Amino acid sequence: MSSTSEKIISVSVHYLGPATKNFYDYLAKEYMKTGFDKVGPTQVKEVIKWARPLSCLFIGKEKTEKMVSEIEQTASQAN
Amino acid sequence: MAICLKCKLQSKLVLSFLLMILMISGLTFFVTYHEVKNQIKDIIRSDLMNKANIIAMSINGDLHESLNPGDEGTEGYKQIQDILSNARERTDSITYIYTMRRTSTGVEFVVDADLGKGTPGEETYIGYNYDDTTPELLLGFEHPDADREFATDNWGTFLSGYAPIKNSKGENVGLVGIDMRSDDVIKKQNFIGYTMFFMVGIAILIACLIIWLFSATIKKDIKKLNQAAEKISTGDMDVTIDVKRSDEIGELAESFSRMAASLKIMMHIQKKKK
Repeated sequence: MSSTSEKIISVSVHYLGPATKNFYDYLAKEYMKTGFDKVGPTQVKEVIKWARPLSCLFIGKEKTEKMVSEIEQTASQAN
Repeated sequence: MAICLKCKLQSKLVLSFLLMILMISGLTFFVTYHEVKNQIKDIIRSDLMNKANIIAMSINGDLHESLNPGDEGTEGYKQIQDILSNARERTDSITYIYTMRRTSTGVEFVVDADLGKGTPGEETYIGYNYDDTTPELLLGFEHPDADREFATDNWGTFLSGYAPIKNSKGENVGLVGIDMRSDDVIKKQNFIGYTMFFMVGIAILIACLIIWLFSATIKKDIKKLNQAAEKISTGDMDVTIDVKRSDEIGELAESFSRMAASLKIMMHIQKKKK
């Protein structure tokens, strides 16, 4: 697993729970046509683009926005 | 115990805290009350001693020494009697005030503030023997002192203070005695006891109210979690858990929300796969 995908999961697990990895695997496979393990720093924006509407279905808009902003922050610190 | 196990969480919390508060405050109350009672008695003793001493210092010892049986109508007697009467008027809770002196056989009354003014039968004349002496009364001929315990005589039960009367040579020629009824002392002690009891009662009531309110919020949030769990168990994953607290129950609610989100994700993925 890439360090980027690990960071995204470590932030998201506080919102999406134990199925976070399944969520991102599904998201990457269905919408980005790639494996989530291979996601690099340049693809964070695309992950967010798809994660935002999808996670809204499960945790609501407010929590999604909080999670997304945390992912953005973590990704920018890594860069 | 079996009854308590069947109780609701809120009742258990309130009951256990109430028991704890009652035990602590009960013990504190009894220990403190006993100490305070003794302290009040000591304060009253000290007050009686001081008052007796002040009065004794204003009495002419030579004049007191010269009074003999039958001198009750003389100017000298009236002069000392006035000092005693005025002192009593200025002092609360003093029942009797008098002077005494030693004789070869014991102790006798000399001047009585009530002679000619008080209840007949309760008055004493010069030379009236007093048989119910206490160790503190005898010490009162040497230095100011007060009874350590209530003393009972023909006039009732009292706590008394004593102080020596000195003549012009500085010799102790008598004493001033002031009596406070035991009822008045007990009344003062009980007043503090009732006040403490009232304050402890109020504190217990406030503590119960706080525990009740605190446990009510816990109960309310646990109920919300329970309702959400019930909803999920029926297959309805669209649950929102409105619990905003930063303690363990808040953490439980957060975990619960994450579990619900995960279940939703898994169900969504399964549905899409089909």
